[in-house]
Amino acid sequence: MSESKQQSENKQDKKIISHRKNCDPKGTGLSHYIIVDEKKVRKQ
Amino acid sequence: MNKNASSAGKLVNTGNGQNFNIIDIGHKDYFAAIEPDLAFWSLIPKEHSELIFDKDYLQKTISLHGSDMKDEMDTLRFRLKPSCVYFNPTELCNLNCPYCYIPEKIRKDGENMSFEKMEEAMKKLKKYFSKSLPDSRKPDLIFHGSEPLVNKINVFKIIEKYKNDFNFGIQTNGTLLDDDDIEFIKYHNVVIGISLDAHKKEIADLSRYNWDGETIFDKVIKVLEAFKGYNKFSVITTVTNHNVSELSSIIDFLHAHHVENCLLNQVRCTLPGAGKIKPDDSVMAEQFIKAIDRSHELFIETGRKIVIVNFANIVLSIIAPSARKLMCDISPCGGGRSFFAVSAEGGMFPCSEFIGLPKFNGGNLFEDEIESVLNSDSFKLVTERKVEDIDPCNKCAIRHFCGSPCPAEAHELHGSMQEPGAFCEFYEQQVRYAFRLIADKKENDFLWENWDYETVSMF
Repeated sequence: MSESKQQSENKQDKKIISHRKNCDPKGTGLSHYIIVDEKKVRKQ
Repeated sequence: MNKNASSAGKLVNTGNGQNFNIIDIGHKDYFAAIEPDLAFWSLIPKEHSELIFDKDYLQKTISLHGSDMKDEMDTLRFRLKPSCVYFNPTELCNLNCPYCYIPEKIRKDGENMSFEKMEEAMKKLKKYFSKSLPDSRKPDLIFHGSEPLVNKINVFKIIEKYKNDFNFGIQTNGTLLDDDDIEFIKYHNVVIGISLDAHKKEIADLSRYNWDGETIFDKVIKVLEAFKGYNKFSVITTVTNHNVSELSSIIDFLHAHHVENCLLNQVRCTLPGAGKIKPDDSVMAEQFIKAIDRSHELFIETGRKIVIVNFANIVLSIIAPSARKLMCDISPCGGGRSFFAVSAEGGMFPCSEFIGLPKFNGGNLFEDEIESVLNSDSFKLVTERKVEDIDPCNKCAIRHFCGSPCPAEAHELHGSMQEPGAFCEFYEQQVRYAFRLIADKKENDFLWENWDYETVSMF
């Protein structure tokens, strides 16, 4: 096996982990209080 | 990119190239590479550290999504409008907790707000939010304290009368609630938070007691049991030297009482009484992470979660910055931006934490226009406090996962807004732990079910 192919396969063993989700920001809680999300409550 | 620099930006960490800060997250297989300004992160396999220079991934991701990430962070940090009010219907409290951020004289000798004044406040707030929020969004109004239920009759009358105009919440010590009150709260779907510092009377009594120094523990436990199964119920535990070594046991206790959400808050050192019982950062971090681990064990054993919300918020700040629920751990913080506080005299402050600090009183709800108070110099002290202006935050890789809270604490502890808060090392350890969970693909176990129902995947 060529060195470059070996390196390529090794990269597959453990891949970079990187991901991100986004949404319309609605955070209004603070360390004095927990806002319980109404939609989430309905789903439970 | 500065076009006056001839660098084509092809090389990492030089010229116009992208900048990555490297941090050891304490994981056997991964380290983190972070572009701090974008809150962009990658976990790189240690055995393939050369991947940090891989043009096909990291640099390409930033090229493709960098402007979206920048826009997201700018929106979160600078473009929000208030949608929540923390409203103090009384200056009084029936307890005398040593770490309270409301000065003792106010809590002991203050006054209740009258129903007429409360109603005047609701009308003014309703009018303000009708202009500033879209029709689809109802503002949150949280009765806070001191102890809001000292003025219980007026609070409940307001909830009944304005239930279509606000999502109401109450943060209370629980001691003034009777069975009828609890039924009222459940019937009206009010979000309620109870303060409880320990699972054992002898520990809880060290930090929460009435003006005669008497225990309130048994009463609070009765209230906890009465709310069992009510899904808009949460508990706040303030962590001090007294209970820091008991956090895992407290999680066991709360989980057994079917509490779904809790905060394990490091005590805020805004007023001097709190500093005397502040736990050391490293002890706080160690015990806090043990408690997080315990919450996970309980989830695996029972299939039922107790979410430690302040840690969940750190996880969210990494994997979905805009989805965070708490606005303390972002810079500028949410004070005066996404929420503001109203004292029992109508004084407007960026956050309840500032109510004992006259310098931060931006105006009066009954006398001034809300918009002008939000733009006051007092509010700007908080809304313009940025990690970029604080040392060592300005060179810290995790500055947008932490936000250097709390400005009130920084101001009172260190005499300046451009100083860090009281728990820098605690945040370092929380973020490193969150990254270890992400490396092991376990992060969702520490968040709410369906937490991402309104999110979209950026990459």
